[in-house]
Amino acid sequence: MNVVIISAVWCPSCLIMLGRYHELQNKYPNIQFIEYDYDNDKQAVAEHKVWKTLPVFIIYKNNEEVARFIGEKSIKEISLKIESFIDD
Amino acid sequence: MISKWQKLLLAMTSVFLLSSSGGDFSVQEANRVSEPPHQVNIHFFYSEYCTHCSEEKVFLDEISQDEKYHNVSIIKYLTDSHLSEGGVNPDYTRNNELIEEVADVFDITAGTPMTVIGGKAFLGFNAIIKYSIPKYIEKYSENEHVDVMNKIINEETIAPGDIDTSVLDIIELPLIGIVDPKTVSLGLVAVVLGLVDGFNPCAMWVLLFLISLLLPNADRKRIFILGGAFILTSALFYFALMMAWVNTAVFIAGNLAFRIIVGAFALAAGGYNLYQFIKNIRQKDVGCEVTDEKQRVKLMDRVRKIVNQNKLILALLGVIALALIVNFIEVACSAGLPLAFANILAINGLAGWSSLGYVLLYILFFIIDDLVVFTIVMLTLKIKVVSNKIARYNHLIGGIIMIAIGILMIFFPSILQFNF
Repeated sequence: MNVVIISAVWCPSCLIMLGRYHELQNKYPNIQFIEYDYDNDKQAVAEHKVWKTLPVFIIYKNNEEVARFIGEKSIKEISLKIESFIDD
Repeated sequence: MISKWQKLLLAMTSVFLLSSSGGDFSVQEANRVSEPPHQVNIHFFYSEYCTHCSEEKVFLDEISQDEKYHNVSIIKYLTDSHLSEGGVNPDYTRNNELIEEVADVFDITAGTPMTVIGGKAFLGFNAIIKYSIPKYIEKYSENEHVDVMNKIINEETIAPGDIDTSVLDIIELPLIGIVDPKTVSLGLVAVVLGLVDGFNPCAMWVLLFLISLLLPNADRKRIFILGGAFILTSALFYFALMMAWVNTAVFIAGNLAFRIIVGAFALAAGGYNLYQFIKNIRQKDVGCEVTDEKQRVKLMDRVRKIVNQNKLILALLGVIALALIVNFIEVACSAGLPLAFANILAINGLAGWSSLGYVLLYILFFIIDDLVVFTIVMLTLKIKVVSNKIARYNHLIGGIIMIAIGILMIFFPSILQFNF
């Protein structure tokens, strides 16, 4: 399972979510977490189809997108989603 | 009755005071002066044995020594039979007759301390009187007035209009002391509008970007100078904008057409804020909207160039220019809140120095979120921010306030003058 976050350094919601993202990284050491910058990683931004709102948090399982969170979300909400795919 | 001696003394005092201010003098004109600041006489009846008299004496001595009150004279009337240094008080009878007459004229009880300024008399001395005396000095300095005490001494008839029946809009609160509701209201409006304006995250992203580029080097001095310069320049830009507006608007604030235009602008800005709120609330995701990519990239390139400057002075000048550009572009983002507040000050007749405190209060609360973020960065070298959820409700609060200001400005301007 992969988790991708696309954020920007100038975006307050991204800064809030990055903190939560790092907590999740510690909570799930077996999951690969990949971090992209909206301004510096243009190709990744295009590949992951990021539109108008940041940050974007995407869960991939077997290279397929299974969940996408846009904007500020709680750790609990994301954890529940991640765990639902771990249990599969 | 008043002796010839007392009349002579008062006449001589008046001659001296009026001649020193360049005015012509005649006995009949002693109680009226023409050129502002007008001469203000404080007639103070006191006893050496009363505590409040001693307190007021100290207070009046401070006034007499204050250069600001150069047009104020304090005339003292001792009501005791004996002088504190020993001996009989030669003015005992006269001063007690005089205090009885004053009490009669102002319909108050004869007692000490008693203070007569122009057409106003105060019995006793407390926090409210201490606050009121300078206010009446200010009032009588600016306006031609009748010195009722002089009329009493000259045995002239006191007309009903000579008595000042005005009451200051002040209240005394426990622990806080004397409070002027108008000052408090304007101060509160400054705080609320400044906060609402400040949490509008338009210019914040540039500061965050600037700090994020400075953080990897962890050079606190450089972060402090450049980040501080950005915030200070933003504050100065707003200060200049608001002061310019308030000093212009004060001359035309009374004009109905102007009020309608500004009111309509406030209604439109309020409507736009409410539209933004409704639009955002429909979107379930709270995040940062990517808008105006071209301009953002341009500004980001400029910030990178500034941060990469080796010479601190060049980087500093770059940051100052950047802050001016950003705030100039983003002033529309404030949706007219600073201008609406400046207009409220103008319709209250506040301009120049008298509006300074309120404008500074507004700006302090306008930059408070930036200051909090910046202080945390300085202390921890980490960026902590406030959720964009706040910005969402900011549109709602800002919208409601602007619509309320618009309606009040057009239909009920007196409410915005806080004349309770």
